[in-house]
Amino acid sequence: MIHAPLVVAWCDDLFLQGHQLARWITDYVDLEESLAMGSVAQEHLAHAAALLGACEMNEYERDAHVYERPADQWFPSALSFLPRQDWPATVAHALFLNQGLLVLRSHVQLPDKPRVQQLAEIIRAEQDLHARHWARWVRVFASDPELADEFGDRVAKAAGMAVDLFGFPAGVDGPDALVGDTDPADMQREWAKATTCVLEEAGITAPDLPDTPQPRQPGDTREPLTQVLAELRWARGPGGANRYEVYR
Amino acid sequence: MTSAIEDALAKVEDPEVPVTLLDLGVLRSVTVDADRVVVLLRPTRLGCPGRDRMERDVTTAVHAVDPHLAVEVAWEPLPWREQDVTPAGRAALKDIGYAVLLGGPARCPYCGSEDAKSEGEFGGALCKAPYTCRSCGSTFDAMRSALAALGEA
Repeated sequence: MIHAPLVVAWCDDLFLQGHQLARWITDYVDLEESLAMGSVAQEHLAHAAALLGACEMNEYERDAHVYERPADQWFPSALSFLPRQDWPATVAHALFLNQGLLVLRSHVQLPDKPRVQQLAEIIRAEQDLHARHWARWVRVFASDPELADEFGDRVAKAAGMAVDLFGFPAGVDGPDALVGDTDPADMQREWAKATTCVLEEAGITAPDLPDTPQPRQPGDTREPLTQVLAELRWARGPGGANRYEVYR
Repeated sequence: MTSAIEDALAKVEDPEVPVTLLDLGVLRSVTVDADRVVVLLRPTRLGCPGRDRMERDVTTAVHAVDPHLAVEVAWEPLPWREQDVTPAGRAALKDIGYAVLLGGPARCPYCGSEDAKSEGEFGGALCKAPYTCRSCGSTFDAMRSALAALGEA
């Protein structure tokens, strides 16, 4: 496996947010949104698997990575795993992570590995569709004064959690082989600018978004994450009957 | 032998839509050696949940011809496009109520009108997008790639 701690940490985000978004298949907004969340969640899981594959982790290693890895080796952003968020908070978290993934993807540079570049381009196109979906919800919230206030409150809370988006896992050194010498602080600033743009185009006043990344903290110090991991392991079924990549 | 294997693979259908993988543009190539068959597939979307089933169905089809052959299924990391659907595939999809976007507006598979309203980015499956026909009032899905949805196809 190549040394790509930032990309692997983002795979934690994708995998966990995919799990959280899947709740909305049954925690009903409306039928169309339930269908959309099923698709977005599936694509998050697939994109995480593709990026882990780009880090030269094989199918069995990827399965163990998500189902057997101890909590202290997970380094997700708090944006990705908080359970039972309401819909405006879900949209705020999803928008922030989606914009971040698009920034991260734009810095994946492995010219000697065309397969990775091709996968990165597919991920870009599929996540661009997610971006349109989340931007539409931002406009929906912005169009109603009461909803706009509620959404603005969730955005402000999410902003406080976004400080680690481009932080390396605590105690782990760079560089990340997939994004090369790109300065994580530059990516955090790019993210802040792009996200502010989406919010303000819709008429939502953007809070000051953190533009200096802080290290990602290990999962064993974060109680909600340990609960989510327990749920995931329950979903795997007795004897590991359910694999991560059921689509493969 | 090669011809028999190709014929068998040409009959393998998508797990969800009753159209062959060949006509959908998912089956890209077949290479037959003395003891091995390599089947190259291209997913409509990276997270297509039918991939595992497709691999099994492809393997079953080859083994129906020769159970001793090793089968290797490889997934091509390239974007699937609507243009990959063959004319026969488009006709089969239309018959079961699907549109295929080919650079123009979505054409209603029931009345042929091009006056259809997009109902969002996501339909009942990753590769489908929902539409409502303004002419006949029918709702339908279009097979739609991420690139087509973004206007980049």
